[in-house]
Amino acid sequence: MCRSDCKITSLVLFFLCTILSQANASRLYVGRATVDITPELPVAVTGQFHLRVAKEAETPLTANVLLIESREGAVQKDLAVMVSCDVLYIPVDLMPLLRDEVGRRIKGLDTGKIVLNATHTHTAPVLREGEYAVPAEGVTQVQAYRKFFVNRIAEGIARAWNERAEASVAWGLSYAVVGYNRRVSYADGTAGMSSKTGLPEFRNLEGPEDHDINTLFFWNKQQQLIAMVIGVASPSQEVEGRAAVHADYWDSVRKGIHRKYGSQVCVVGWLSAAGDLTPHIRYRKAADDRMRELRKLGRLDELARRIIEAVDEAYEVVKTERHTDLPLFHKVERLSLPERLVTERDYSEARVSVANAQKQIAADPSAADRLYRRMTWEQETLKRYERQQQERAPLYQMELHVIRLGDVAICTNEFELFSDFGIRIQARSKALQTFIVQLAGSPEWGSYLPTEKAVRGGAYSAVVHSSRIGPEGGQILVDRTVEILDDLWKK
Amino acid sequence: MKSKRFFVAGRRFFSLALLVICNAAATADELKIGAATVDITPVLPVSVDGQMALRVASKIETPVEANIIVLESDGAAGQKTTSVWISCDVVTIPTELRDMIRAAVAERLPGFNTRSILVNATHTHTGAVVRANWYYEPDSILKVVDYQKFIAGRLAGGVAEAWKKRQAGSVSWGMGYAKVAYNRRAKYADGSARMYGRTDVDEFRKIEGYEDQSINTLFFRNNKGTLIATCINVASPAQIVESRLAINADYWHPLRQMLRKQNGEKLVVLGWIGAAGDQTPRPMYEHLAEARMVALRNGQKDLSRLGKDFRTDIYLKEMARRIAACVNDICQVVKEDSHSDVRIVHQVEDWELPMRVVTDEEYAESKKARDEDMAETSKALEMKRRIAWQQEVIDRYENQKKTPRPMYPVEVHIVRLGDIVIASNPFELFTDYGVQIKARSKSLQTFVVQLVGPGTYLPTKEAEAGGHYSAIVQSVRVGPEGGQILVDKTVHSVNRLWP
Repeated sequence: MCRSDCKITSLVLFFLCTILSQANASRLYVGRATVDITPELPVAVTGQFHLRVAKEAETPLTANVLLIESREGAVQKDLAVMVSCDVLYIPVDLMPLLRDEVGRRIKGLDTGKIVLNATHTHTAPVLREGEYAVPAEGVTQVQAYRKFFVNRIAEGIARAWNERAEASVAWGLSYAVVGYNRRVSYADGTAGMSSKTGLPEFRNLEGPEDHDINTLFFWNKQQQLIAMVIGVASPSQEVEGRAAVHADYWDSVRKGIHRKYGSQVCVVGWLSAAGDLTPHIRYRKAADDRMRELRKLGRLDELARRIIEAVDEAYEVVKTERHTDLPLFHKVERLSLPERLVTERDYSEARVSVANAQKQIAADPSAADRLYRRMTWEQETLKRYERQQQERAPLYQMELHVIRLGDVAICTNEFELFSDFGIRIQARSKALQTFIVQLAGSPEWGSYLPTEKAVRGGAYSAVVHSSRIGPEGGQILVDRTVEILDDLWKK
Repeated sequence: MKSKRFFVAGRRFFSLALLVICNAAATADELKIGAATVDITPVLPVSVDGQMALRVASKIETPVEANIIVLESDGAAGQKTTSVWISCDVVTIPTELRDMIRAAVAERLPGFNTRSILVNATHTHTGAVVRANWYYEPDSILKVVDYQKFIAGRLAGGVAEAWKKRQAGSVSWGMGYAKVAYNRRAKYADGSARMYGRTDVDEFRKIEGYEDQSINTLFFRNNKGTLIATCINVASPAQIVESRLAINADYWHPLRQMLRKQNGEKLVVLGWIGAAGDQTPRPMYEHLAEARMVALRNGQKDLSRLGKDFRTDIYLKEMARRIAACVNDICQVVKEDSHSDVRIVHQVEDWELPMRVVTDEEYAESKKARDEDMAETSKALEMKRRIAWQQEVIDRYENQKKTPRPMYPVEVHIVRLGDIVIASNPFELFTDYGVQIKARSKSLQTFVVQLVGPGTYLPTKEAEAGGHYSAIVQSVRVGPEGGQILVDKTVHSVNRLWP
C-alpha cells in the first residue's frame, strides 16, 4: 500500500514538474512565404517631395512573410505574423483592408496579430491616396496598387499559414556599419539633415549610430534553414532619388543570402530605430568609396556585403543553439501618445507656404509635380493645428506590438524612430536581445519621432511637419514598451 | 663631320637626360622603411598606471612592448625627411619621458632629427607607472624614474635598430570598420551624465556622444613584398582589463599575437588610439547578448552565468578578433595599391591652447575634497593620486590670480604620407573632435592619434554640461574652447599640405 502510494505521489510530482516546466514553453511552428509586390509600370514612386514616375523595375519588390505560432498539443497558444514589405511605409488605413482580406481567406487566424513593416525603400509605389498629384491616366493608380498589394500580402500570409510546421529558432547579434547618422549639428545650435560636415561650423553628428545586426534563424524539422530575420538600423534608401522601382539594398542582401544559404530562405528585413540614420556616408566618404572601388562593388552590393558578413558571423556562432520549445507571447495594444503641438508660428508659416504653392500650381499646373507633395505635407500641419484648437490634449492611438520569443523581444512602432529611443528600449529591456521594428504601420509619409535635441536643432525630420509625435510621446512609447517587456519576462 | 659630332653630342645629351630622369624616378621620393619591436616589460613588483588608487602588479600576464617604424624619404631640395613613430604599451606619454626618449635617441644616433619622433600611448591601464610623482611609491617597487630610463634606453635601441635596418619598401593604406568603440558616457533625464553610468534605469536617455568604428590602417612591405609593419588606428583605448593588479598590454597583446601568427613573428604592430576620450572597448548596454555571443564563440557551453563584467581574457580575445578580421580584410583589398615613391612631410608644431578656467565653486570643492582625503593619514598615501588631482585644481586657481588667461602648451605632429595624414594630439580627446578633423580634412584618410603626450581629457560642451569624471575640471586642463581651437588649427595644418 505504502509503496503504491509512493509511486502515485512520484508520478503526480513528475507530471506536475513537467507541466510547470513547460508552462511557458510551447512547441514552435513556423510558416514563411515570399510574394512579389512589383507594380505594373509605369508607376509613381514615393519618398521625395517631387513626383517621380518609374518606367522601369530595376529589381523586383517583395513582401516576406514570417508566421510564428506556439502550440501546446494541437492548441494554438499564441501567434505572430510578421510581414516585411519593400515599400516606403505602411499607411495605417491599409491594415483594416488587409486584415479583412486575410480574415476572409483564413479562418482561425487572429488578424490582430498581423504586423506589417516597411523597409523604407524610396523607390516603391505610392500607397496612400492624395499624397502626390499622380496623373489620372497612363500610370498605375494608387487605388489599384493598394488592392494588388493587399491581395498579394494576404496570399503570402495564407501560404505561410497553410505550410506552417514544426521548426526551430536561434538568435544572434553581430555588427556592421550600415547606418550613418544623417543629422549634422553646427556651431550655432542648428542642425541639418544630410547636410555638409566638411565645414568650419560643423560640430558633431547629432546622435548615435546603431551598428547592431540582430538575427533570427529558423529551421524546419528536416534541419533545413527556411527563414531568417535581419534587423538593421538603417533605412534602405541608398538609391532613393531614382525614378525607378527598386528594393534598394535588400535586393542585394536577399540575392547574397540565397546564393549562400539557398533560395528556400525567406529573408525578412526589419528596420530598427533609424529615423536619424541613413546608408549614405556623412564623412570619411573618399576613403570608404576607394575601398569599395578596390573591391569592385557598387554601393548597394557593398552594404549587402557588410550585412551578409555579419549574418554569417552570427550564424556560425549560434547555428547549434536551436530552440524548438520556447515561450511565445504577443501583446497588442493601442497606445495613446500625445500629439506634438503645432505652434501659432508653425501654423502661420505653413499657411503662407501652402498659399504660395496653391498660387503657383494654379498659375502653372505642371508645378504640381514639384510642389504638391510638400504642400499636402504642410496642409496636414494646418489641419492638426485646427484640430488642436478643439482638443486640449490631442492623443494619437498607435498600434503597439510587443512579442517575446524565447529570450528575445520584438517591439514595433509606427514611426521613423530616432535611434536614441531604440537604444533606450534596448538598454532597459530584460530580454537577451531586443529587436526594434520601426515603420510598422504609419499615419502618414515621413512620420519621424525626433529627440529633444533634434527638435532644438530643427531641419527636416525634426520640424513639426515631419513629426506628429514629439519627444514627449517618444518617452511614453519607450516607457510603455519597457513596461510590457517587464511583464512578459515575469511570465 | 660636324653632323657626326652633333649626332654623338646629341646622343650623349639624350643619354644624360635619360639618366637624370631615371635617377630622379628611382630616387625622387623613394621610401625607406625600418621597423623594430622592443620589450618594455618592467621587473616586478611595480605599480601600474591609470586609476586613482595605488595598484601594485604582482604578475606579468603579457609582455608590454614598444613598436617602432622609421621612415625616410627625399624631401624638398634633396633633403632627406625622417619620421619616427613609436607606439608604447603605457597609459600616457609624459613630457619628461618624451624628452628622455629623444635625448637617448640623440645619444645613439648623433645628428638625428629627434623632434620628428612621435610617441603615443595605447592607454593600457595595466602598464607600469610612467608619470613621476603621480602615485605613492613604496620602497619595495620599481621606481618610476628608473622605469622611464629603462623605456628611453630600450626605445633608443629600437630606433637605432630600425634606422640601421631601413630599406626601400612600399606602403599601402586602407580603411574598414570594426565594433570596438563604445561611448562610455550615459546621459539621464535631468541632464546629468555619468562615465560608465547605468543604462538600464528609467532615467536613462542616451549615450552622450558618437562612436567611431572606423579602423584606419597602414601596411609597410619590404622590396620582396613581405609585410614588415602595420599601423592600426582604433578609436577605443586599450583598457578592457584596466583594474587588474598585473602587467597586461590589454587587447593589443592578443591582436599582435593573431597578426604575427598570420604574417610572421617579426611583424611590427603600431597601435594608434584615435580620438577616444569618451570611449571604452566594453559595452554599455546589451551586455548579456554580447556576453553570450562571445561565450559561444569561445566554446563555452554553460551560459547560465553570463554577466556584465567584460574585464576578461576572452573579451580581450574578442576585441582582438574583431580588429584582426578587419585589418586582414583591408590588407587583402589594398595590397595591389601600394606605393614605394611617396614623399613624407613631418611637421611638428607647438601651440598654446586656452586652459579650462577653474571657478570659485570648483576651487572650494577641490579644497574640501583634498582636505578630507588628507585628514586620514593612514589613507593619505594610498590616496596620493586623488589628493594630487584635487591639488592641481587648487594650484590652477591660485595661478589664475596671476595669469587670468592661462595657456596650455601642446606639441602636435602632422605627417603627410602619400594620400593620408596623421594628426596627433596629447589628450584623451572626445570623439566628436576627431570626427570634425576627419570630416574637414582634405586627405583621403586622416589618422587621428591621441595621447601623443601626457593626456588629460578634452571633453565637448555637451559633456561639460553633463559633468562627471572625464568632463569635470579635475579631469580637464583644456576645455571645449581649446578643443575647437585644436581642431581648427589641426585642420588648417593638414589642409595646407593639400594645396
